[in-house]
Amino acid sequence: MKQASAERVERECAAFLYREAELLDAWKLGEWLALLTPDIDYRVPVRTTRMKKDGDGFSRRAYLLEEDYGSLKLRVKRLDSDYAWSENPRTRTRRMVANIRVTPHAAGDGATSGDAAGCWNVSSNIAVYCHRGDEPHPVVLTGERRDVLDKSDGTWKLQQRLVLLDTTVLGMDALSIFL
Amino acid sequence: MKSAVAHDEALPEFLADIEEDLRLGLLPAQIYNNQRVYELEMRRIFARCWVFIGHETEIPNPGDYAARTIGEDPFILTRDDAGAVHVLFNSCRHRGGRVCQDEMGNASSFVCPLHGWSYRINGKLDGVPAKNEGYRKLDMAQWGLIPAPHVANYHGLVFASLDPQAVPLEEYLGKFRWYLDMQLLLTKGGMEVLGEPHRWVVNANWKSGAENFTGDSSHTPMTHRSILSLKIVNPAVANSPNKKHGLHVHDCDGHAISIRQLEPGQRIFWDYPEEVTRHFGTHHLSQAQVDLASRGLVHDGTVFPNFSFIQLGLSDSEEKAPAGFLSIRVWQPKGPGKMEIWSWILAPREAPEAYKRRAYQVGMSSFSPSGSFEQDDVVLWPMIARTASTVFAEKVGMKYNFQMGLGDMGSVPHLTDFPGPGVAMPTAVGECGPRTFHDSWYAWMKRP
Repeated sequence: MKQASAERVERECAAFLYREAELLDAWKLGEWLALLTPDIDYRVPVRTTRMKKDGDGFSRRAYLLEEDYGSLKLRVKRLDSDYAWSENPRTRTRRMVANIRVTPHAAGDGATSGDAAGCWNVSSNIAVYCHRGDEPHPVVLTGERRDVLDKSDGTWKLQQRLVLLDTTVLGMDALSIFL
Repeated sequence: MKSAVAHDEALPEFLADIEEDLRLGLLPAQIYNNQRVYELEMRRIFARCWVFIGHETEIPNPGDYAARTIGEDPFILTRDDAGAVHVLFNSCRHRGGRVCQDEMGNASSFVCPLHGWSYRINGKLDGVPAKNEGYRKLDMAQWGLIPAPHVANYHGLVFASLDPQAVPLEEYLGKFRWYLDMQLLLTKGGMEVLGEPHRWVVNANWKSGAENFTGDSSHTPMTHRSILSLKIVNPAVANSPNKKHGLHVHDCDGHAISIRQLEPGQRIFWDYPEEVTRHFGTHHLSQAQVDLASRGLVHDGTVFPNFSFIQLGLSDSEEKAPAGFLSIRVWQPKGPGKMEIWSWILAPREAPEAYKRRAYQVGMSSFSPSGSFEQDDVVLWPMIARTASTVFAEKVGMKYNFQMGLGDMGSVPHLTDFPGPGVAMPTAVGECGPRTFHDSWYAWMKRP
């Protein structure tokens, strides 16, 4: 991968993630869905506190969210209802996306064309500040996203997302936002 | 933080004599957020009743363990080398250190990080540093981890009681076993937990979850309106409560269940597919139980005090077929206005692995912190606790109303030809389940 090309890919991936965060913070969920590939694989595993020898505690069987396009679409439909009490009134969210790292998803992706075509592994850190009702203090969710972004068709799309949260016990009444 | 409340301390004034109110379906609002009530609950309910600890399939192998809680006290669920299950106080006998620091794992022993006392997985004291120099007379047999006085496994559900005088678990569950068995024993092999539990903290009183699952059917069309309008739920569930599809069973030895079902002769088995229902049968159940299960759309109930279950079928997507699953949960108290919810998703052991995956996804999509049903429950229950903590509610002696369907309020008599135990009301219009829960609650709270 040429240097100029790598910088361009990183810039485009960051721009994609910022645009995505903007849509999610603005609750433009229909537009957010349009950023996903039809075969999106979206997961937030349950985490448990484990001793060092037993690894990082991320479950391979239990999830807070384990979604495909159809299930995400249904969640968005429900959240758009006036009767989805978990989000009416809305949670006011602010997503901070940082520490973005980009590597080719598979050998050859983007290496020859120089225009970023193909898939890219994009890791980033997120902090999501959630304010609900008249409670002045936010619930803050932090974690690492491991995404696969796809530019095969000329526009950037999210094809895979794995969100590795830092908490094991969720400190909010309901997880009614996307991470 | 905790003040000392003696076992024989009198109930707070506002609880001294509420029998007449309970008969009328009324309950003081304060009990949903009151420090004194909470402290009494810890001693009179959680230190006495049988409390759910975990499912045996969470610890399938010798050495497996999982950290759990009774009331607010830490315990460890373990399986020893002989396969026996233990519930041990997670506290070193030397100076009270936590011997188990993590949530689950597999080990041959627990070692206290303070001074190094070590215990076998069955709780026996195994090693004390410098024993030969400083603890020569220590009787190792007397200094193991303190076990819960009673532990029992009910078809995979492990319960413990901290009361040495507790009645046996089977007696405690009583006739409610008829309904519990329907959830657990439709197949020969019973149910299996699919993955680690969801855990999250909700700013509501533990009783709000427990009583909801006994049959708060009239909340369904309002609280869950957003998901019910999306056509992924059977219309017999989604419609307003009505006589045809509702069934509430209360006064069943202190426990209660709510059922939504198809009409007699129709068969759905909570939307489990044929590849699963072909394993269903009368291996452990009577024909009457299987018949009732076969019509089942939703079964939800509570074993007093804080173990609930819900078995149902639905989908997480307009493009996918519905799937059945069982969710079990614990409403673990964490203060008068706060609880931690622990929830597990289960499927029959005989189900194909691919189906178990699907059952997990559908279960998570509906009953979990992100569940389309549960989200709208848990953001509303904090309101109940908030009102309960107000000075005004205290000053005016505010009482919550649980009179729906009570006596002349209701429009249907109970069934006289129902095959199951307890009192069966052929309607989802009514709050007899929560009233049973409150009767149990008060009976335990009253006992010094």
